[in-house]
Amino acid sequence: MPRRQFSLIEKQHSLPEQDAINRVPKPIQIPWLRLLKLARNPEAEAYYSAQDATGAQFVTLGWLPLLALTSASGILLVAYAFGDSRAGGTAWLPFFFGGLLLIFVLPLLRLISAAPSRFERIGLICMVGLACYLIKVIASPLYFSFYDEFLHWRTVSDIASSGHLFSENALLPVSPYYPGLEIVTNALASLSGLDSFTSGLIVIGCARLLMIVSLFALYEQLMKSSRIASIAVMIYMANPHFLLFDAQYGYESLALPLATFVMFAMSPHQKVSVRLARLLPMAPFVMFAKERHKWLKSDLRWLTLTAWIALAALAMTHHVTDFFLVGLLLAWAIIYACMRLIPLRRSNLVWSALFAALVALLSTMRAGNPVIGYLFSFMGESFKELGGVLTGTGASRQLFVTYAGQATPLWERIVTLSSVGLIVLSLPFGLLCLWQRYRSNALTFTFGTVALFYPVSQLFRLTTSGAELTDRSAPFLFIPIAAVMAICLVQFWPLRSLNRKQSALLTCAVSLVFFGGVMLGTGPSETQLPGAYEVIADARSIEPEGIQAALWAQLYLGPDNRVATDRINQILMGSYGNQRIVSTIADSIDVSPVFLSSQFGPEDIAILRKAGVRYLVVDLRLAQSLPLSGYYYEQFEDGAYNHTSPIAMQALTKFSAIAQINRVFDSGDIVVYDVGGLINAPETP
Amino acid sequence: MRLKHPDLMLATAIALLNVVLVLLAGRATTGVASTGMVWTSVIGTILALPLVFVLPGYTLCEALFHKRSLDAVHRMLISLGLSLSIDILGGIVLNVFPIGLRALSWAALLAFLTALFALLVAYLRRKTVMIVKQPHRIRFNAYECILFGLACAVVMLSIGFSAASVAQQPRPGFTQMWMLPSDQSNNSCAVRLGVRSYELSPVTFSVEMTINGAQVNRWPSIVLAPQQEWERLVSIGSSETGAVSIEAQLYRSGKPQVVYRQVNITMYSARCVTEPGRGP
Repeated sequence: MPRRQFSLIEKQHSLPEQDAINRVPKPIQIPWLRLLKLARNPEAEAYYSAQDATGAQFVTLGWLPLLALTSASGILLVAYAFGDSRAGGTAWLPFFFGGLLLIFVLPLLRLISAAPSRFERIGLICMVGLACYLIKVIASPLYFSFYDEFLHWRTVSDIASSGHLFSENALLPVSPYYPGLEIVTNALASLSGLDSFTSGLIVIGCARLLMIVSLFALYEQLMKSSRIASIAVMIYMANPHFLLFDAQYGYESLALPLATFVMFAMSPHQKVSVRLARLLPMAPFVMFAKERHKWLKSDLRWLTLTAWIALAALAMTHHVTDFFLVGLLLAWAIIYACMRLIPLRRSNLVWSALFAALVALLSTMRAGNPVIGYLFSFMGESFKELGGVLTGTGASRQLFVTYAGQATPLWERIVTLSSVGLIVLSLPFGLLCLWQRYRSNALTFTFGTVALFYPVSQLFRLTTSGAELTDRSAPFLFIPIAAVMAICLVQFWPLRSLNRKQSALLTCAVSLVFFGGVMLGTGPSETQLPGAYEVIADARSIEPEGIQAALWAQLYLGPDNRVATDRINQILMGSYGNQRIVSTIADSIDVSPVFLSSQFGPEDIAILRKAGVRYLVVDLRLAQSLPLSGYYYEQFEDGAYNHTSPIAMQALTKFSAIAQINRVFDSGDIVVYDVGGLINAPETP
Repeated sequence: MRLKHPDLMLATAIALLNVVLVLLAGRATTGVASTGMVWTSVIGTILALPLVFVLPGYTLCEALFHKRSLDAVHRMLISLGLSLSIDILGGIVLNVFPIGLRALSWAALLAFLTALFALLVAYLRRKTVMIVKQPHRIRFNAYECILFGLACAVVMLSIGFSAASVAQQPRPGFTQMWMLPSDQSNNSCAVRLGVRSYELSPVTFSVEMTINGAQVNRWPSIVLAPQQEWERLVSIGSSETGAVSIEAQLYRSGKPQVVYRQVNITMYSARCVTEPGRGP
């Protein structure tokens, strides 16, 4: 046996590697060697890549029609589940997950096999991506219901009414400075005559299509196989924000596809540049080389221009996605420079990275853009909390329990933990394969580096503010993670020896990652999905009484009155009601003490005066239970994320007893108070 | 006779049709169809979708990569990605002009860009010998057509079912009541008192109004169907001086002792305002 080992080392490994392997204890030398052999196996996907190159089966539909029908049936099951949940049923969860199973698992099983053509693969991933998007559509088919959607709806309404950009949006002051999504919506709504809700749904649907096909094309360029690319796209869909958050009407839902498109446009850069560099010495003498050189140079130039146009658009669409892409391009350029493929000053990649950084900088530095403060306050708090948790000076967040005290069922905990565990576990193996097979490609190498941030990002789950950061980073981190995991999958389960049992096992593993992502994305106990009313629960708190109160305010009070209210009525009054919401984010004034205090006193009057509040909108249902989002009014209110008992009814009704406060509206649960008489009254000495 | 550049001609035609439709439908500056006819919206949507999502990007893509025979997927991808980017950058440009982002300005800009790029492509293609691979044809057999058709039908059914379930979601009914000071031309004081029912069935209400504790008005029977509104303009006597406290209470028939909704305002009658120290 030792003799055989040595011969294996001698044949396949370089001298430093031999030394490293010899240093490994004998009992694990054989598994380690096998692992290395699998990781660097150049034949793992050879059969399929050859098929891809011939393009022989390009237009075969294969199972696509049948799987389209099963996916559609899955959507119907999910629609039934949502209907049951809305009607107050309790047995809807099996239908929801059953529907997802039909949508995701069957196409995945097909994609893992070698049979589908490239065309069928593209069809399948587009179908699954759009089916997942339709789940969000049927969750709210008539109006916007996700929290962030209202923030952007206000911006799009302002653009439609004024015809111009950059008007103030107190709900999300940074939104008007990144109006890309609203611009496209406005273009479609203006030209078609559709309302902004329907136009928004179509825009996000197109963005979803762009995302899926861009990802596929990007992965295909990197790994030269449509099979790996399609599997990687399916793994990407397992990120917690894919199903709902990045399907909602929000700027990230358009920015992420644009960022992926830029990566796709830049991905052939290395290949073209290297070919170009090789042709350069021959070009002055050989006619063919001259022509080829001209052609490649033109390709490179126009690919770069395509990327630059998309980069400029991205800088006007979403700050975080833009910053992420700038970081990724810079890292890619640095790695590319270290590889010394071509001189740095001649690299379009370096210039593109610098252009991206410049455009991002210009966009950030625009007069009045509050993005720096907006992001730093959030990130700063998250890091501070994490520091406290790690050093033991702060308490960690209780996992698997909502802020309203509901515990996540055990089976959901197991699935989510297994999902995260599986990703973390597969990363080292995936990175080993990447190192062995693809390290010569600067972008793939960059992906490997970025993927390492995933385990680090999970630490933020232990914090209150940072838990959101973990989920928010997932759509970005999953771009490299999906590539790494797909490489791992195809290297360790090579196509030639893949049998049905292994296919089923791999399908189960990827599906587990997907279902874990869905559970993380839909919130504890799926509270992001449709259902009965709950207190401060975003989509579940949007109901007719609140909407009608906001519409009443728009009609009877007129637009742009300064209104203070809770988290849910803020978005309703700011969008349907067209009111000017007073909040910490827009005015740096915390009005929550006015609502939370049991007695109405001079401090409350002082806050109202300072904030210039004209109307208070009080939702009496807040006294029913704890807020599911962790706070009633403001993120930094007294007791935020730590409320132990619901807000007292006395605190909410105290305004009725004040003579100078007029109770101008009452719909049972929602009361509007006019405090103009109080804040404009002459101050008593 | 074969058309030389059918793709470019189609793109330009769709772009120009958008401009014509915007002018015909009267949405030039408002962005809202003045006629309100459904057909303009349907045709508008059919024409607007390619103009917003495909044509500017497609023509630019053809101009940039005219020497290359792009893969169909890559062409589609670049067309969509560039179109979205052009829309965004175009919006920024339109914002600079006084007309801003309106239907006509959008149609004019996107049609101009599409036509410009199409002309450029036609010019670039005139000498280029394109080695165009014959595109693979997708052939659907009857079985596949039936399956796709069924899939589309099931998706439509799901959306319809969801929309119906949202509309029929069981919720408690509610009624809005409001009272606001009303601007009067003759300097007299008045309040607007209103009730709107969102109950699940017709309900009979009664309303009582008091001024400084004394009942001044009573509406004993107001029958409101769901979504129906009742509103009155009530004058406040000019004999009142100083602060006038006006209260209104809503009762449901059958529960005359329980106040269902309640509103109140304090007016400073000399000035007919709700804010002391402020003139009318």
